[in-house]
Parts: sequence; C-alpha cells; structure tokens
Amino acid sequence: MQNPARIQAYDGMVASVGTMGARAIVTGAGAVIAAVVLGGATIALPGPAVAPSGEGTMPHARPAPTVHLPETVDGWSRRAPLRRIEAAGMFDYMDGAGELYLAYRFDHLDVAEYESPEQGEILVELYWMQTSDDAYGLLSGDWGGEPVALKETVPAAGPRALYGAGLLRLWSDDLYARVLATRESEAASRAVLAIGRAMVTGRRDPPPPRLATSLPQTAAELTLRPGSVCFLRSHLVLNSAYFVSQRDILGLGPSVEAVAARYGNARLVLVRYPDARAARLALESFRTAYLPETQAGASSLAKIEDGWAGFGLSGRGLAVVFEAPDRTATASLIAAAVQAIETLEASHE
Amino acid sequence: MSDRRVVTRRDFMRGTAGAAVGVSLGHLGWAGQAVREPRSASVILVRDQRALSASHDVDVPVLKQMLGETVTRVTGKATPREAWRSMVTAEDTVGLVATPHLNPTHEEVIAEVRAALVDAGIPADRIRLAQGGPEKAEACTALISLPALKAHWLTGIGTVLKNYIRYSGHPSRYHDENNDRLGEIWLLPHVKGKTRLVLVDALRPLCDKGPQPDPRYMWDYKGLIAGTDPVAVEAVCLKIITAKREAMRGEPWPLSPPPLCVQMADKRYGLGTCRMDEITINRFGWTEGVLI
Repeated sequence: MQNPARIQAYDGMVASVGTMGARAIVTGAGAVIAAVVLGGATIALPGPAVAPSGEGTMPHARPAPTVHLPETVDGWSRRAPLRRIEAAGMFDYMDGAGELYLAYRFDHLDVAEYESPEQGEILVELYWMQTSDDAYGLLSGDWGGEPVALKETVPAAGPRALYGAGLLRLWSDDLYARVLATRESEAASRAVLAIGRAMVTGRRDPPPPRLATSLPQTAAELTLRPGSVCFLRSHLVLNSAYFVSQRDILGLGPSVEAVAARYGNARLVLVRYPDARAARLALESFRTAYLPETQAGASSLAKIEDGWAGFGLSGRGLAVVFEAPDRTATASLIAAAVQAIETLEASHE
Repeated sequence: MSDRRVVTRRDFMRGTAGAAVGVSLGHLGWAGQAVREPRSASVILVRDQRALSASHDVDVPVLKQMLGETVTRVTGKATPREAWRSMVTAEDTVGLVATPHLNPTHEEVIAEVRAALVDAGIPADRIRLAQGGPEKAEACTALISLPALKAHWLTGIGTVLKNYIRYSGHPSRYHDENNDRLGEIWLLPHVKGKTRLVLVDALRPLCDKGPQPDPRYMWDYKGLIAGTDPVAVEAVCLKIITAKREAMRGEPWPLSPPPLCVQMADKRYGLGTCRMDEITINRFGWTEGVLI
C-alpha cells in the first residue's frame, strides 16, 4: 500500500503514470471506461460514473470510484496488467456465465491475476455495476460462506464479504468482487483476505436496497429464513433463486427491483415496478400464465399443485406468494408484503 | 420462440412441461419423436479413491487404469486398445470435445484419452481438440465428448448436452428460456451420428450452478461416467448432482431452473433415455459417497 497513485483521466485523453506505466482511456462521451495498467504498489481505478446508490436510484454522475490492488501480497505478485472486459465481451470471457452480470446493471469487469511459484494463482475479478444495489444483488445470490469483516468498523445490515474454500466474494458500493485462490491454503486465505481489505479501504458502504430490508420478518406462522433474500431485476436470476416460468411472466427488467425470499417452505417474490401501470400489466401477465383460476383484481389466492399461491397489488408494488401451507398463511404473507411496500412508498424512497 | 406456450413451475408439478413445449413444436418436424418407443441404455461409473491427491492433483497412472476399465466396460471388449478400436478407426478424424469453462475438463483426462487413441493405432495427427464452432465438428468423422460434471445456472445441468452448444454456431440461441432445445444440436448434420463415446470427467464435480466455479460446491468424487447414450449419461450425472446437493444442505435442494433440456432430449429429440428405469448403471471401484 505504498506509493498510492491516482490516475487523472480527462475526456479524450490517455494518461500514463506509475513505475510500469498506467493507462486510462476515456470515451468521447465523457464516461471513464479506463483500462488501468499499473506497476506501482497501489492503483486507483476509474470506474463507471454513477451516483451513490440508494433505494431505487438510477445511475447518474458522481466522482469515479477507486479500488486499490496491492502489487504483491505474501509471496503472490500481480503478473499482468488489468484486463478490461466490457459487456459485449462477457460471453467470450466466461461462456454463458456472463448473463448473470448482464442481468443486473453491469458496467464492466476488470480482471487481475496474482501468482506465486509455489502456491498457485489468485484471480481477482472486479465487477463494476451501475449502482450499489446491483452489486448487492450479485452478492445476495448466495449468502453461504463465512462472513468476514474487511474493515475495522463493520457496516450494519448484514455481511458485505463472504469467504469459503479459497473464494472471497464482496460487495463494496458499486463493486462486486470475487477473489479466488486456485489452491486453498492458510497462506492463500490470508492473501485473498488481504487483497479484499485493500480493495474496500476508503470505499463507501451504502446500505442494502431498501426493498430487501423492508421484507416482513413474520406473517402468520411463517418466518423469514435468514440468508434467503435475493435482490434481482431479471427473470433469469429469479429462476435461479426460485423457478417460476421459462419466460418472463412478471415483467422484470433493468428498471424493476425485486426480491425473492423464503418463509419456511413458502416463497415470496416482491416486485417494485417503475409505475403502477407496469405493475398492473405484470400482474395480468402473471395471473393469466400462472394462476388463471383466480379472478382479475388486486388480490387473490388459490390452492394449486404445490400448495397455496396468490398475489397482492398496491400501486407499483406486487407481492406474489408460492408454496404456502394454507390459505391463512398465504393471505397473511401477501398482506404483510403489501404493507411493507406501501410503507416504503410512503417514505418516498 | 413466440409460438411456444409458456412453461411454468406448475407444468413441472403436473408433469406436463414436456407436452407444453413439445406439442407446440410439432410444426418444426420433431413431433414424430414425441411418440416414444421404450429404450434401454447402459451407463458405466468407475471410481478410484486414489485418483486425486489431497490437494486435488490427478494421479495419472490411476486415471489411466480408470480410463481403461471404463472403455472396456462400455464396449465389452477385453482390452482398452480393442475398446478404442471398436469405437474409432485409423481412417477417422477424431475430435476430443472437452469443456473449457466453469468446471473445465482436466487436462490429464484429455491427454490420457489422446494417448489411448494413439496406442490403439489412431495417427496422432488425426486426433484434434474439437471444442468450438461448427467447423470443428465438420472437420471430424468421430467425436469423443469429454465434458466435466457440473450444474449450470441457466440450464440446471451443464454437462453432456450443453457440451456441443458451440456446434450450433449460435450459442446464445440456446440460453435462457431456450435451453430446452439443446438436444437439437446433436441432430445437426455436421454433428449427428458422430459421437462414439460420452466420457464425463467426474473427478471433481461442481454441484451448484455457478455461474462461476465456487470451490465450496466442488468435491472429490474421483469418477469417470461413460456411455454411448448421451441422455442416459446426463440423467445419471443429474442424479449424482442432485444427491450431492441434498447431502450438503440436509434437505431437498432442487436445481433451479429445472433441467428441462434433459427431458426434452429424450421426449422431443429422441437422443436417448432419461428414464432411470430404462438405464442400467454399472458401478466399479470405490463405493464410498457414490450417491447413486
């Protein structure tokens, strides 16, 4: 962490700094899409120009975020310049896996590799998202692993970094990162965590998406399962968390916020659309495809093949419940979820 | 694909997912295969506790033994050399179709298959790595499919059927809601009938869907799974993945999305059988943690 170097990038310019050279390329539109190639001990990496993320915010201009990657860590050395992968290159980089990141509001990916002659490699992937919510969403796809504190003062509201078997996953503002040691060992674990600490140092810790933290804790006899909340925007991610339909019958997309959560064996999908009309259209699409035995309206439920299912609509919010054990539990969970979203809306978040 | 009915969770609950998709595809010419004849298939599972070290390195001599046992069991021949010769000839151009992403096929597996083919009399210059676009398959007269065992976040399972996705020339057309069509790639003219062996690298599978490898969900299974019916081999792989997931969580942990492509490869495309009551699994070697 010596010799911190910050790259000043200007529209249309290429700047080079650092002992082995650094390069920042700026688009004509003024958005920094820099590829940084630094040989110094620390780099500052211009990223997407976006706003501090908050509940439902759309990206807008803000100072470029930075991340610090050490040159060496406990015998591992960074062996090559950062590689920049834009959205169009994600398929080549990771086959079908790229679709997960594109299912959120993805900006670009930077990849760094560390190597140690005796201890294998460490792969660092920095997924720059357009908002903090999107980065949180990527972490929320799997809350497994051991929560680790990468800062002395741990931000509230759940873990921000999870470690297991040589893999560290972290959410830091608009950054979602994976740091993976190819050979797990105590030394590799220390190095992975050191890289993680360096990355989050000095970065902001916005709260999780409000929709994700507004979920009811209980409804009737149902209790929210810890570690079951997944924030998403795409039906591909929803289907990965809980399969509903091959096609997008809930009208999800980049401008939509949704959470999937588990209450016992029941499932709740809570969606907030850009406006009430979009919510009504989505409900009709869902009802027609999935619950045609129900009547059109703001709320209904039915017993189907795998338990009770139902929905509740309020303004631009839609709550859908699956696999609930009985009518009472279904109605209670729908009501509690609708109440949660109405409270959220009333707070003008 | 706007002409297709929406397949929902409820179709799976009712057992009508296949019908929902298959019937509406009748105009594409697959309807004849919707009427299914009884089938049978044999799948070979060979495991050896010594196949991987504690640090997951492959023991090549052990792997070589496992490979020999696998191909002799698949073909019923007395020796590995005879087994390979029954599958390919010296006149063939043999393509080895390994998986490069997510949970890549071990290099040692590819190397040992190549060495065994050379030992069986296939000229080295007629053996090539054939993963890639359609031209890779077109250039070969015989294919040995060498995927590694893994789940996949878009298709549920991403082992056998998905291994040929690039042969379509349009991989993205088979992602998302269209993954049920993966089986049709095996019927493309430059692919159909060329696969002589499906050999799954199950040395260290990945039981969660990713989309990127997470070592928490990898385990040393130390196995090879093989057969000539790609759907049957995939169905056995699916059983192992599913059993491992349940064992890890201590409760049902179904793959999501469900692997519709496996059912469709059977019912719609007639590539083989996914019905476990039609599949004979022959197990050899290490039995601990066999999961099936």
